Amino acid sequence: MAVTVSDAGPLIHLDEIDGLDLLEGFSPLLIPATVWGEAHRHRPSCSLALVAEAQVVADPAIDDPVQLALFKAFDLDAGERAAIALLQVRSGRLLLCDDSAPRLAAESLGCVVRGTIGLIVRAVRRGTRSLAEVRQLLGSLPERSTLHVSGALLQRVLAQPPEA
Amino acid sequence: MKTLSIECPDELHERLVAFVENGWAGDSQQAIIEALRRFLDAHAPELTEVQVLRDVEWGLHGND
Repeated sequence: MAVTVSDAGPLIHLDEIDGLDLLEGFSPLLIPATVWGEAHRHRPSCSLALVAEAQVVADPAIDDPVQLALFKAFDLDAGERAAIALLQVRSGRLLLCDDSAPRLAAESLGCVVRGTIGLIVRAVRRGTRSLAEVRQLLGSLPERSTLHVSGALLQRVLAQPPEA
Repeated sequence: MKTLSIECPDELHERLVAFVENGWAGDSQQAIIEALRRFLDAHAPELTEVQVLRDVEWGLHGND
């Protein structure tokens, strides 16, 4: 399976809802050291013990002028830059990220980007959570997490049947 | 025009002052307005909505 890289957002947001185990199944799941430091700063108790495939790795060097220009244009922070650069260096395809700007930047480089809500819904497909549990987790996001999603959009998501 | 009053971390303020002093913006207000415009453009609700709905589609039917 191709390499998957995570930015800090999904780590923080899943930890806030006790859902870090939803990162299982990516083999391997790489986390740049800067990203892990950021996640740990926000969530000191955050632990990857439940995610066997996760590895914290050194940040890659970022010296490609196109990447550098793109990262500046999108005003990406150090963790976002490291995550996208690592995905490129490891020829990975999937980036886990919640912020719009790095998502756009990564997509412009040909990466697929998915976020916390997708990871939660994925649990139904993988059979690690029931549909009712996933709906409960999604519904708890505004109160339990710092992931900002409009209430109206969240209601639309919750209304989607699993066969949609 | 509206007047905004905000508290800004020292480190960010120092960078703003240096940015203006180095001539990259006419003044700090101009720099802040441009930064705010860029942030709002990059976080447009319609963009976030598309991204979330793609997430859901992948969550339900993706192949990872």
